[in-house]
Amino acid sequence: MSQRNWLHPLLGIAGLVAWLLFILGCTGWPSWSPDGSRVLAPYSDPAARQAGIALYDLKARSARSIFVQRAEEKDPNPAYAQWENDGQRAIVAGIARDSLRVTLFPLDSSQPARQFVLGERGNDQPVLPIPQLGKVLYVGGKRLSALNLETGAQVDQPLDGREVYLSTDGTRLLYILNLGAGDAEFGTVVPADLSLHPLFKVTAAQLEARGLPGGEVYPQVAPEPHGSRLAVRVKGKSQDAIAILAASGLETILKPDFGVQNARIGFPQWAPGGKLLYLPVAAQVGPGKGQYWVAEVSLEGGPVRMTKVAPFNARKDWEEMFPLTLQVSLSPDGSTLATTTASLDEEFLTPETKRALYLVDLRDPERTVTSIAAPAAPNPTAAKEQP
Amino acid sequence: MSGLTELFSYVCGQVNLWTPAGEALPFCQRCTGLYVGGAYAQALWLLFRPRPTLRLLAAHALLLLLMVPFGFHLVPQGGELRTLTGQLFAIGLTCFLGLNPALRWRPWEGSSGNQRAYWAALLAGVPLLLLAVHAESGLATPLLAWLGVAGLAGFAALTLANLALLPLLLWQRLRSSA
Repeated sequence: MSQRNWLHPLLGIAGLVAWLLFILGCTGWPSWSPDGSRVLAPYSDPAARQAGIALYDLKARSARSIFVQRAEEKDPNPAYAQWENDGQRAIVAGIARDSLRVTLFPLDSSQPARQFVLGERGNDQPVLPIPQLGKVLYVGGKRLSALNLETGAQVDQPLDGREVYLSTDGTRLLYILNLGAGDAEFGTVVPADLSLHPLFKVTAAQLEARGLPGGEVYPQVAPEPHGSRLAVRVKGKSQDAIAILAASGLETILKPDFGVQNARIGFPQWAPGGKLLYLPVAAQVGPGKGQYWVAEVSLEGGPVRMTKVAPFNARKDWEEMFPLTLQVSLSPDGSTLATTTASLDEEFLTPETKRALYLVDLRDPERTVTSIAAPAAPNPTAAKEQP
Repeated sequence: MSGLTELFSYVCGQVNLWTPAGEALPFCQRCTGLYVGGAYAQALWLLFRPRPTLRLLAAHALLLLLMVPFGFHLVPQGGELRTLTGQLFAIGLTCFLGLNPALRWRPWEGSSGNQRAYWAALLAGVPLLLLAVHAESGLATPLLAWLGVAGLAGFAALTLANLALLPLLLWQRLRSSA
């Protein structure tokens, strides 16, 4: 009986310790193992009429602004960012007064930032990632431009009313040209003279024959790393799909079952090995309520894995704009997906949705999602404003 | 709901949330099992007052230890399994945290035949919770959220009771051993 007398107090202590461990585990104590990398992502703060680029330090779980711009309108033009190929500088691009401003920020040195201006861009927002081959950045849109990031030299070519969007698989410069009526042309750009060399077309008739009537290829192309295939988003009347394109043209259409109705897809991203795609997915899940996921879709079929990222307000026209803002980006070691809600328009945000960078741990069977809040906008009125 | 989200942010990482009828719960899928399941387990524990036999304590210890492979992600698992393991953990936790307060109260005196009903009711609660998190009714999220608050409050009360009673109990045991 004396053993039983001790047992209950000891088991009570065990229960307290177990709950404490559970809480510590759930609030993030044991998990994420950073690889020392950092993430660049845009954010906006319409209340302060500011938009900028945040540098997220995954080790310190902190964020700081490396670039802030303020607009007189409520919604400033967004800025976009990516790393230079060698990881030394951040490339920040944004439209201002009909020009594309490309700014290079050295993040680990005291070198000054450099800015280049590519004129006559109208309202062409850049489609990221802007392809870089060697030291040259290639920008599409209604004009085709090459910008040497070392010398600042530019080569520029108008496209006579056509509009191309560029991407790269690391060796080739690829383009997609919208031909109208749902047809699109894919080809390569010769870097030396920026001439276009068509490879194949994807037509509305082909898409309809594959069960996507009214389908339209979006100009965001994800080339397979170290491969020859391309993944593009197809916006259908009733559902979105992914077209996989091979060297000869349309290879297959993926119509993943996301388990929710009327899901919309953002810009796809290849997993290493070319057997899996990561997709940003958004769907309305209730009256005025939307949910944003990251989906893992096998090219060989099978169930789709969905990881919840954040809820959003599914306002009336959310399907038109919201999916275009969704991008995922894979870390170089393939272990972490990054995506952000920090640049969403104010009306998409719910009280629970933070402006933050979200990191999905792909090594974790539970796909733990952690978030790092976007930096607070600096107070623009700290100093008296001058006209 | 934002107040509840803030409340649970102190005890839950709030990733992988259930969203019944499109509205997110203020706690994660595993904590749904722990706190909503905890409210249910606490109610059943009070209702049936199972006698703490060695067999019952061993069974509840197993439910607590079950969290080791699942909590440390040694086993691949989806949302349902996370909620289920949280719920089973809640059953074990309720029993262990209830032991010391019950030494004072001795609620099982004169009620020796309730163990089967206790286990049967616990088992019935498992599919009920999994159905509730998939419900399409707009009432599901507030109901589950407030049940979670009840579960958290119950565990907090049991913790306080243990912290108050444990020094006293340990002192009494030391004295009786001497």
